[in-house]
Amino acid sequence: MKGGSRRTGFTYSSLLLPSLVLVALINAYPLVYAVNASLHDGSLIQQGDFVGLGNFGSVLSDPAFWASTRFTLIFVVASVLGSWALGTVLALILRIRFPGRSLFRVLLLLPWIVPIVATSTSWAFLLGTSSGALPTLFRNLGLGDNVLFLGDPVLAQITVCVFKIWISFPFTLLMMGSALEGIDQNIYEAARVDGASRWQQFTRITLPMTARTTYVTWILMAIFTINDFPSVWLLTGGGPVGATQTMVVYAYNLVFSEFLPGLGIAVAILITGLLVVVSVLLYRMIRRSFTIA
Amino acid sequence: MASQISTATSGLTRRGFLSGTAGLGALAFLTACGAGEKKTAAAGSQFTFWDMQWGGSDYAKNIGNLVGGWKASNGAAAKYQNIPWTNWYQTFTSAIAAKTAPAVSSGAAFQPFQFYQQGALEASDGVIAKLKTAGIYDDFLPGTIDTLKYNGAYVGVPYHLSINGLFYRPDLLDKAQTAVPKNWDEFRALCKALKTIGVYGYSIPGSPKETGYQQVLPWLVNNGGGWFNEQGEPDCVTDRNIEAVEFLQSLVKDGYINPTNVSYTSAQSAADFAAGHIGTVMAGPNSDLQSWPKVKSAVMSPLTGPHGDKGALQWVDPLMIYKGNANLSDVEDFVVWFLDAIKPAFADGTYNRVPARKSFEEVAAVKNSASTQMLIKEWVPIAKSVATRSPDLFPALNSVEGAPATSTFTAQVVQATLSPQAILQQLQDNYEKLHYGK
Amino acid sequence: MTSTSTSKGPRARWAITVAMTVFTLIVLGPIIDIFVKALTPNGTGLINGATLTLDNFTFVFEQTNMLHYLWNSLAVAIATSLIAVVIGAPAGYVISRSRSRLVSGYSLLLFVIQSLPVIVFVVPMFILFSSLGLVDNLQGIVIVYVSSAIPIACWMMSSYFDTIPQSLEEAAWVDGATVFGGFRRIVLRNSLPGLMSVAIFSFLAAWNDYLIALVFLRSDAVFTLPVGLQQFFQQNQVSWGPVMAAAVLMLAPPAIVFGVFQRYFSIGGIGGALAGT
Repeated sequence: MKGGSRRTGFTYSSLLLPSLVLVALINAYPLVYAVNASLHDGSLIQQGDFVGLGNFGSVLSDPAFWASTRFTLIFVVASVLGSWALGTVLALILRIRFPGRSLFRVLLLLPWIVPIVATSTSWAFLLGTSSGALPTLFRNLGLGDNVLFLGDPVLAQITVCVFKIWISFPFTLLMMGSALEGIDQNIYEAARVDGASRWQQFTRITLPMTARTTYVTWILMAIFTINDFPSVWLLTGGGPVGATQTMVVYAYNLVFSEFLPGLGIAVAILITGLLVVVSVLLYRMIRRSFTIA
Repeated sequence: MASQISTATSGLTRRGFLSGTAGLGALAFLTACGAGEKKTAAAGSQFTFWDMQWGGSDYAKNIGNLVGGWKASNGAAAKYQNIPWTNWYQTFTSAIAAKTAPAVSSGAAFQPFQFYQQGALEASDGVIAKLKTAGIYDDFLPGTIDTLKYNGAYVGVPYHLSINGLFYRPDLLDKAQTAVPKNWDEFRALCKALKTIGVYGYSIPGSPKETGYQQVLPWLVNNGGGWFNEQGEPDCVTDRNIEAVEFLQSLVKDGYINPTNVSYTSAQSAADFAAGHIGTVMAGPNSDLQSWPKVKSAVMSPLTGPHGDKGALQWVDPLMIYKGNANLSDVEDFVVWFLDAIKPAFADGTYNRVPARKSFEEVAAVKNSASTQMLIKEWVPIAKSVATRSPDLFPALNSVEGAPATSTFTAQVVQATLSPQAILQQLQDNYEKLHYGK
Repeated sequence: MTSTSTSKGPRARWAITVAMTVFTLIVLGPIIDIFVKALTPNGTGLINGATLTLDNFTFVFEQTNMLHYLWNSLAVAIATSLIAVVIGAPAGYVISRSRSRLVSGYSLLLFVIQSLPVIVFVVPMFILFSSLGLVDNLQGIVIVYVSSAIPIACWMMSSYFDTIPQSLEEAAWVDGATVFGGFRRIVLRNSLPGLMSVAIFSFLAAWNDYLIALVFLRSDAVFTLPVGLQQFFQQNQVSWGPVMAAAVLMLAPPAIVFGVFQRYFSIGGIGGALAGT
């Protein structure tokens, strides 16, 4: 007896209506506008001429686009897995009753909560100036006189990924923390009685039983990361020389620095396509784990 | 389970929920109907003036008060709004697209060219005519009014000038026992001397979010080079340009420019200068009062290039009038009045621009600031625009300023790994792709 | 709140505390830096005997409109979280309970919309809202924030409701309650943690948004904190003290919100719901 009656249907529709209206009204016009703009070669003020799929063609043949795609994938995989791993480890540790535990639970949320305008500035000064804390540390440790955390292309990419992990791990910590709470402790007891090692308990009990949350966390993190503009822009602006330019930054530059919204929005549409593909894959994994669990 | 169903009444029923939604919808609808046709201001009514941030923290308040004091004989008045520089392009274009653009605004140097070409601006010829009748026309520095001509019309009127000069720290030069340089060789000697006391010689902010080219291009112009030829076409790979880029890269390679600069913002450069990590920096008027007020600094005379040329970079910041005003005459009167009334604004020592009018130079703050005097007397007369060898400005320059290609160029100069020819050729290729609609 | 094995002696527990302290100090380094800069004159940090001072905070409170921006941000964030819950909870309920294809399709549509990069839709949104008179005021951005939060809100709530067995409502229906009554009396009453999760999430999203506020808000009177902070940045390029003080001001409310309400977020919150016990 699942929502079969007409009365239920009517109630369901009315409960759904506000969100539907809001979403449709707000998103319809921008979507139409955006798709239209991607098919023309105008500016934000004039529509320009119709070029069909020409913008998409230009974008797909631009080496800068592929470079940004490559880095975006690295960025997403590193950030998703890195933040998830760190969050899970911390969640496990925070399950142990040690002195000060509740304080740490709140403190470790700060990187996520503190406004990114402030944290990125702090990071830029700590890492991006030669008198900053980290280059000075490296200098004193003899690891290099002037390590360019934001200036060297490879190091900058690593720094951007680390920054993203740093601002994201509190979120994965929360997600995995609650998932861990849902596991019945008796299962661990039984496993211990059966002689299972810590590692086996982790891989055979903890991981599978939190699999669904893990995949959801991965999907959410992937969405947040692919579309994340402030993290990269505020830290490096996509530099040096485009090394850390993700697809979103690339799109932004096309629209607002080069004044070519047709191309920029074409890129945005491609980003969405990529996201949908990634999410569908992860969603399939959830369904599979659902049937197993 | 049934026994746990609460029978307490609560305000929310399904009907209540639905009617609440309907109410919200109706409200939104009514708002939509009531608001929103484009307000075409009739003569004698209020119009808006958007001004950018040109000074310190009191700037917006002072100018706002000034503007509020203007009233035309037919009752027209101007409403002042200060616009942040961050994402200024988004702000203006979204307003134009939504038909809520202001009546008049100040802005970036090449903004009126691009907006005029796209049909968003009214020509300022009326203002120019009124300036002549008011007798102010001749007070403007030579050439400043005419740089704002495009395809036979004036796209704006000069508000003030932006010019960068070489600031230096006399205390650091004294400590390094070196003199103020007069040419490139002496500049290099200065850097070498500064290095002995652990100070960098110069700084080039390479962050893509910055307009770091302002610290690089002046050297090319100084050497008689520049990015564009006399016809306004990109012509980057020239001997003079190569020589200038090579000079700057040699400074990096010899350790006189901090390689960390490649990710620097200009704020970081200014901070380094203030902290005594750098000896010279290319900066704008009143930077000494605004960016490093506690430090003594001075502006040196322009350097002579290896072939005897002198040159500097300047921008004429304009006021521009937007289309869609029924009261164009009122707006023009306001502009003419405003260009006169801002004279006292220059008394605010944090105004980071130089006046475009000769008579304004007698304002105390301008006259008494040694650095500003230096800029006016020695740097402005030799200054050229970003279009350099071309006498005319054009819309594509707006793209050039903010283009990733330009910031890439700057960063590559600092990285000093690619050859000058390669960097300039890449820049040339990128500029050729920009829209050049004339 | 249960925790893992109790077979650890006190010394092992203290060892963990020490290790976590070191770890947290390192991880929170940049944030500590913000606080230090906020508490030293000109934000120079602890160099050459600079003493701690509250001058930067006094400057921010007296010389700027930060308090006003704070109030705006609070109003906007609270409004967003309330409306997002009110609209998202019922929608989430339907997505959870209904088996119709249309509803699944709607859920997928929400997901796709959530995936669109906001940045390039900012301009057409501005045009749309401008014609409705909803720019340069707080109502306008609340609507935008709510519509951005709705997809996640619906999804979170539906996942949460999935853990509440439908048999409870069915019993109520048998007893004569309407579907909506069942929703309100049974499901909602037992969903406080889920509702809090959505509220907190929406609050944070609205609080920290920068891009929308920057394009939609022009007048000083309606600026929210992120925009105000950015203005501050521009005008005080080299003096970081007041800027960092403003940043501290900006992180206080969400930190407090989290500190007070975090147990809702973790106890049987979104994650627990998805664990599917």
